[in-house]
Order: sequence, then structure tokens, then C-alpha cells
Amino acid sequence: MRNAIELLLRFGYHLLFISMEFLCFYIIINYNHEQKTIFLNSTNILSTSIDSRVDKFNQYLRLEQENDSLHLQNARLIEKFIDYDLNASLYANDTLVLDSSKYHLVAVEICNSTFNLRDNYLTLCKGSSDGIVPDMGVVSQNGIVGIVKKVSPNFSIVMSILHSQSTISCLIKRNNSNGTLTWKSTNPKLLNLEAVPKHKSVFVGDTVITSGYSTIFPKGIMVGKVKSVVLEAGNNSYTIEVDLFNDPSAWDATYVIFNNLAGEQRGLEASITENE
Amino acid sequence: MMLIIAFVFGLMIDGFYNSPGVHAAALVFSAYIKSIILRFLEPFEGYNTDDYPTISKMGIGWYLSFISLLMLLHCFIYFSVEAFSFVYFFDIFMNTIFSFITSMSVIFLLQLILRPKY
Repeated sequence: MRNAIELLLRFGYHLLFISMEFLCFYIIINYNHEQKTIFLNSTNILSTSIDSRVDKFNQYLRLEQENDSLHLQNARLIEKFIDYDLNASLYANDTLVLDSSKYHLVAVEICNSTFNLRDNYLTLCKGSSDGIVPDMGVVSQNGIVGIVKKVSPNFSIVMSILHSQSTISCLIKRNNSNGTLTWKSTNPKLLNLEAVPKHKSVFVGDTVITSGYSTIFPKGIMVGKVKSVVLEAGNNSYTIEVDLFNDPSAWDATYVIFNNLAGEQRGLEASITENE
Repeated sequence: MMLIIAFVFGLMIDGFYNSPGVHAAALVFSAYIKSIILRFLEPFEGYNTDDYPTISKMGIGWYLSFISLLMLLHCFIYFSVEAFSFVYFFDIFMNTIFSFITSMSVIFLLQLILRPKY
């Protein structure tokens, strides 16, 4: 209490000044038309700007949820797209319409990844407890990522397409010429397409898609664009460089492809080799 | 005490000008800033107890700087409060300059005519 009185004595003059100025402004705002409108206008602007800031901040807090939901939604969309492609080609050939749910995508986040080594692997944050088994394909939003090699209950290791042993069957979209996608360069955005026979025509800018010949990737997933084509002397196939659509250093959201009929197809194929 | 006198005086002027609070705010500010200006302009040996802020006591130079600083600040605050927004900064500035000149000449004329004794 004594302190308060002392404070009042010390700063009473200044306090009186401030309170009187406030009183004056109160009178001004309440009894003058022009100043009142200006005051209301300014406070309106101020409050709306504060409001929008708070709103932005709240949105920022919700960003993670939003991201997750978008991730899931994307999985469903890519799934639809693959099914649509599949059905369209089937209709075009006028054969039976298969059950459209052959492929099923699950959104998975990346826990760990490399892209600057000779043999690159990724670790995904889901494993066998979510149904992931080896030899499943992994794609990102606009391209392929790799193939699942090993799984534990909660994690799975993916052999990236940036791996010296990685081979993926691909097509040139324009004329369906088949080739094998490997990684020979040191640039993580440039891959090589091998074994495209020289009687097929290949131009710079052709789109490369997955072939769907294996059970891993469905047909028609975008991979990249042809960047350069060279036919070396004495060689039976082109040397093609492919520029990836997606940037391996920026992979963040991935989708594991579940092929519901993979077991059936593989079993049948295995039985042939056994018989021989 | 000075602040209260300034406030009441300001309200009275506002009564005539039909602009409640504007003059009061400017005058209260001037009354507050006066002590600071006095401290700022304090002579080397300090004020005497019977000093008054007049020409005859403090000399024309001191009086001039004191009154012009106070008047300039007062005018500036008054027109700022009247416009109530710094969007009109140029208007505030021009108003301040011209009323400063007018007010200063009126003050000097009054000083010359009345010649306060103390």
C-alpha cells in the first residue's frame, strides 16, 4: 500500500497527464462526428487485420491434419486414375470388364531416405501390420519411387529407383516400345532407358510410362520425359536418358500400391517354370 | 494543477468552437510538455525562485525559444487531433506552420503592447 502511494506521488503528474489525455480523446470520439467516423474506421481496419492474423495462425496449426487428409484423398484419386486407365484400355479392346478394384493405394509417409548414394533406399513409416509385403510398388504424386524389399511390423524398406540393381519395365507412351529403366548416371533426376530396339522410333520429349508387365506397377504411371536419344554404332538398342517428372530429393508423400491379384498372377507364372 | 487548469480552459474554448475535447487535449499536452521544455531550456546556474517566463526576466532569446517550441508543439498536436489521422499529414503540417506564424506575431504584439512589469 505504501509503495502504491509512493508510486502515485512520484508519477502522479504523468499519470494525471495520461488519464486526462484519455479523457480528452474519449470526449473527442464521443462528441465529434468526423473524428468518430475516423476512429471507428481505423479500429475496424485494425480488428480485421488482427482477426485475419489469428485466422492464419489457426490455419497453420491445422495444417498437419489437412496434409494428412489431402494425402489420403490423393491416394484415392490416383487409384481412380489407374482404374480408369485400365478400364479404358479394356473397353477399347472390347473384352471383359474386370473388377475395377484390382489396385488399391495406401498413403504412407517417408521416415528416412537417401538420394545421393550409389544404392539408395527409403524407409516408410508403415509395415507388415498395415498389410505391406515385399515386391509392392511405391509411387509418389507424379512418378514412381521404388519397390518394397523388406518389411518389419511398423516399417518397410524400399529400394529406390536410384539403385544400381533397380530395373523397372517401362514403355514409350507414343508407340508402346518397351524398355528397362535403370540408373547409370550420377544425377538423381536422370535415369536411363535401356533395351529399346533400334527399329522403333524414339524422339526427345516422348513420355515414358510404366508398362504394367509385372505385378508391381500398374500400366500408365507417368515416369518422365526422354531427354536425349543416341544410337551408338554396332548397338542394337538406343541409349536413352529420361528426365524424371518427380524430383527424388523432394519426395515426401508416397503411396504403396496393393495389387489384389498379384498372388494369383505370380502363382500361375511360377507353376509354368516349375513344370518346365 | 497546471493540467487541470489546462483541461478546464480547453473545454471552455471547445465550448465556443463546438469541438468538444480537441482544444482540451492539445492544451493538456502543452501543459505537460511545458515542464519538460523548462527543464530543457534551464540556464546553467538554474532558475531563481522568483523567475517568471517573461521577456524582462529571462531575456528575449530565451523567451523566443521557449514560446516558439511550446507553440509549435501545441499547434502540431492540435491539428493532429483535429484531423485525427496521419493520412492528412501534409494538411496538418501546413496548418501548423501558418498558425504558428500568426500566433507568434499575436503573442509578440501583446507583449509589446502590454509590457508586463514582473
